[in-house]
Amino acid sequence: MRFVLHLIGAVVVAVILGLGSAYYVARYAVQGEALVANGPWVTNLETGGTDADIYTRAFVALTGLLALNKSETIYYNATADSDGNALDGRCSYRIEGRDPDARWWSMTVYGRDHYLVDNPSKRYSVSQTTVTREPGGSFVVRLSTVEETGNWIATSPDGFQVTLRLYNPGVSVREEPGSVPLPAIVKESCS
Amino acid sequence: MIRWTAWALFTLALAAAVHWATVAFAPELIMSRVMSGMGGRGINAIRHVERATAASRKVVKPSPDLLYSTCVFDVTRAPLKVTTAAPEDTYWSVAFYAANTDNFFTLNDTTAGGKPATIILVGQGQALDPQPEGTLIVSAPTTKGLVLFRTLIDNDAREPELDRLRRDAKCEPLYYR
Repeated sequence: MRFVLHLIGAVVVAVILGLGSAYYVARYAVQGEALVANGPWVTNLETGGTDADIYTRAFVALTGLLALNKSETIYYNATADSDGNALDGRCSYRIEGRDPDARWWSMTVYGRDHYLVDNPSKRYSVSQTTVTREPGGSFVVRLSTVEETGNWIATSPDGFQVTLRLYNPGVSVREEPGSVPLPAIVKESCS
Repeated sequence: MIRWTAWALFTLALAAAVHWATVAFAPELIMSRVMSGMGGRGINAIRHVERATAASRKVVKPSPDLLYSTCVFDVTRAPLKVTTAAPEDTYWSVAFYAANTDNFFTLNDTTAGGKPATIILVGQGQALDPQPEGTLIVSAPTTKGLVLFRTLIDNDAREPELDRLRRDAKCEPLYYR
């Protein structure tokens, strides 16, 4: 009887440890050696590819299922601003820069749950063809919970992340994903 | 003391096995759940998805700038014939995913030369004799999986036109044995 109780206890503890550590490692800790940082942006070049290891596959299944491989699209994700501080739903930000080297790009805000942020105007993203540009071709996109005119994407007070999609990325992005110029994310004010 | 050490080692070994199995099989389980949701109207048939909003919760990180169409496939009994639509002056692609989430083949408007393309997806051991002319033959690494069609909405005013054009795409079994 005592042996059976010990066995049940060991199995329960092992399952909790195994499931918990698997979720934590796949979700937060290990994303493969192909992880590349570029300022506040981070990309995993194994996303969608057939060379991905089991942790990368698990990570992508949890956070970006059905992504395309790197020759088709490179996905950069930002959970922090250009100063390295975590994106805060109580703060407003501006994203400023020039067109990345790609056939087409878009920037989309997602909540912490990885889904689009609900807002009455359905302002979820800006893209190469919808962004309003400054003289000279650069652009400034504002992120906040309060609607603004012009280039604006709604954020969530509960926290958010930004995904930059580069469709058919150019040679410079494919060869130097960690140093090619990408837009900066600058904190403006907090409530 | 030895007995407790043995129990601790047994627990850790079991935890490691559960950890590995969870990481290794989670993608297939998640993919299977997503395919079950998408294949509600039948497998080997195309389904056109509404433009993503905050209410879209079937797949994480949907792009609000794309029109998605899906086809859950099962090539156990027959190859799958996929015909793309070819809207002009915008990006479109058709991507094939295995049951373990791998994106094993993609064709886009540039690689297709801006024209509609026909792709035959064959399962393991299936042979096409003769090979249909003007088609691309792709081997499926798993019998079940998903085909995802993407059409870029480069301008909101074009959405109705692009929504109409994407419906030219087809996904159907090539034949039944």
